[in-house]
Amino acid sequence: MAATPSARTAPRLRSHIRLLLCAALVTISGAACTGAPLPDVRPPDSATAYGPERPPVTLTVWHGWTDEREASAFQAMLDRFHLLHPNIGVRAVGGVTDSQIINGIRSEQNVDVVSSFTTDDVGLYCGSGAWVDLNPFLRSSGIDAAKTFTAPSLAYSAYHGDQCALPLLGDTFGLYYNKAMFAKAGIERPPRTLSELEADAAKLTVRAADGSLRVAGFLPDVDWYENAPDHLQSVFGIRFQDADNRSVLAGDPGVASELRFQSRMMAVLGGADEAQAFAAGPAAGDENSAANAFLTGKVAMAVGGEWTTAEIAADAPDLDYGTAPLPVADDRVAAYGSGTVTGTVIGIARTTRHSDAAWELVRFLTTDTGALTAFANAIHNVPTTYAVAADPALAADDRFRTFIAIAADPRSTSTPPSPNGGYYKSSFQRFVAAYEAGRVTDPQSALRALDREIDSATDQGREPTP
Amino acid sequence: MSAARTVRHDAARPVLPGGTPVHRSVRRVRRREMATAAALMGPWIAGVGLFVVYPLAATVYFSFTHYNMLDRPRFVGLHNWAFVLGHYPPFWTSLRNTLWLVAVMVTLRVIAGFGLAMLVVRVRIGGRLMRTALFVPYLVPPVAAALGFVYLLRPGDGPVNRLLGAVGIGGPGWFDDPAWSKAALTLLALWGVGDVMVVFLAALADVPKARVEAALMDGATGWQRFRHITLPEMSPTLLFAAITGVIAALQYYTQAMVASQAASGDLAAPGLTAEPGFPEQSTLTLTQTLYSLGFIHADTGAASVVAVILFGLSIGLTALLLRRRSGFAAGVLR
Repeated sequence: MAATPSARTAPRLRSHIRLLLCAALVTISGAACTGAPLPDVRPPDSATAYGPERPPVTLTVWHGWTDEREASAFQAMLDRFHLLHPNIGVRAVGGVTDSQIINGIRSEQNVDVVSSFTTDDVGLYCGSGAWVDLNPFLRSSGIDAAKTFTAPSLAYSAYHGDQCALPLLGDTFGLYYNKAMFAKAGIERPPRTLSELEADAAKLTVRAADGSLRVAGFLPDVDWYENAPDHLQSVFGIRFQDADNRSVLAGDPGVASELRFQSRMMAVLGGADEAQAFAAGPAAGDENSAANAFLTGKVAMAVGGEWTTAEIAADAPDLDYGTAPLPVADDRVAAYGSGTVTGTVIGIARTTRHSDAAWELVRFLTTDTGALTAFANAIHNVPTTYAVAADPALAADDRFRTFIAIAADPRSTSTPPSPNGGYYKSSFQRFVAAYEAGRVTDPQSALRALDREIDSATDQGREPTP
Repeated sequence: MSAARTVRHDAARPVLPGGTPVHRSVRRVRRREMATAAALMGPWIAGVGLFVVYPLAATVYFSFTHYNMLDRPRFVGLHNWAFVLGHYPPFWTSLRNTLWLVAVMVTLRVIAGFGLAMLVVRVRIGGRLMRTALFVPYLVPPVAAALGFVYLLRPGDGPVNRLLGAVGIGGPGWFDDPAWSKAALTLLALWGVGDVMVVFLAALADVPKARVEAALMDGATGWQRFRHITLPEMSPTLLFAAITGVIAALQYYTQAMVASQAASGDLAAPGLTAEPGFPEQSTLTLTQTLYSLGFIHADTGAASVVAVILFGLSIGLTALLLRRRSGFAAGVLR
């Protein structure tokens, strides 16, 4: 009897399915093989990690600087290192972002020393071992980290005790104010509390004949320039997360304080729409350019990092301005003078084949007082070692000294490291932006939902328990 | 083993001269043909296997693992799926944004492309110039086009809002306003509609003139000729434009990324990776969520979930359009 078509095709179909399953198995096996372990990196046996008797070696350093002035200053620092260690050559690659660092290490590219502009991914780098723990290296070189590095900078470069990075100069935030405008408005000194800031902003705000904003006393827009909530952490005393990386925004009085301030400041400027149109309009050019609204006199007071002092010197040398610590919430007067500290971090990539030489370079870049002072003078970043902060060669005028004092202030803090980068910061910033625009009807329940969302994302970033 | 072999011939089966059975010879020929075909198709099979099947299977596999690209992937079952679908609101935001772009941007691009093609074929003087002028924007690199539109649509001093202001209309915030940012992206897409227009122009050239002339002689109006001749003839091209448009909208990334970064000022921040979606995730698309999860937050597992969903969505929408096509064509032909 002839087989029916279905009976004929069934075995063929089965063989096709078998073939497909085999192909899937092979490809999935291939996929599962991704991420082979890398060789262990061990600390050097002696304090001198890579002496002159060792064979010549060339290190590859990845860093984020692209601006010609800053990149040249970093290169000068590397040249200085090479003079001291002629057997260690250094090849620098600039403009590297964190995602490039992750991909570079994952794909085992030839990189020895890595540097990041943000501390957001320190948790990931330490937790995954992508950046090697430097504690054994510090011990072998006899460096007492707590006595060498400022407390906030040491905190933001470690994760749960794993010091996989070290600070390479820091950033902190202060208030820039236009002295000429202050004098014209009869204001004698920069504000120290938010109430004073609001009152001064109202006096400094100038409107055109049609009522539109010509000069904003202070722009509170959370997406504008350096107004991100994590930069203003010390102003309101926001904690973001507890020691277990649980989000605590809903119950944080600092968050409520920030929301109240945003509402009041927006009202000073005539409402969120007007303030945001001004922030997005011709008055507000790119922050890191000569069109910066503070440099062009369109804004009388602005939050800025210490590096802006160098930009003003280059782009608006005649600007009559001063700097001061950020004003604090009225119930936090005792915290005036402190700030939020973050900065550039540097470490050894686990892909390195020259860990001794790499440590020699990292140690030099993070602890050599002469080199760091010269670098700080060149790029106007705040020192992260006590020795540099006290170095008389640190060419700091009063305006830059404001930031050095903030960074050295023992009350200054840094944002908590997290296993999944800066998700908690960007989520909260989005929330504040929506609140400013009047799109949050019930802030408390929205904050509770945000806490849950951030906690889920944090858990997602953690290594699963086997 | 005996040196001599006993060859048995089946009397019922035909035998070639020399004793070889016919069926064995046919099998040998078939085998040779199969080998030739396999050799010819080998490079294609290797390419598809390496660049399509393997990545697809790997993506599905990674969606069930905890993988930060730095450690070995670890199997976590449906954990990533539960996270993305249940605890990661940006996924749903980006899905809504993407579907908005599919529904609005693709529809408007198809209508605008078709309409412009119909207009251009009727222009007697300067038709070629008009065709070129309408096509040229498509040739502008997406990054440059997005930056140009961010400038044109600046809320405060952008030329568009200044023009609107001159006639007494308060311009919107465009790329700075979550309520208008997708509309601004749609304007950008409509400005570069030249590619769709060219496809419709080619299809319009194939509409049989004889049928149009016959309809004219029968006294058919312009609408009747369009409804009963042009549209049915164009339906395969419309379907093509819709499917390719949907797939492109599902993969929409560059313009939204550049526009959001330029509007937020993040383009000027060297060495830092910017979060996509400004303002307030209103321009966040599925591909950007995939990028954000995979490359900013180093969560390849969750990013793979988004990739698999995106793939399924592409297949599903394409299948839906292909199924609806017969109904659409029948409707216009009736």
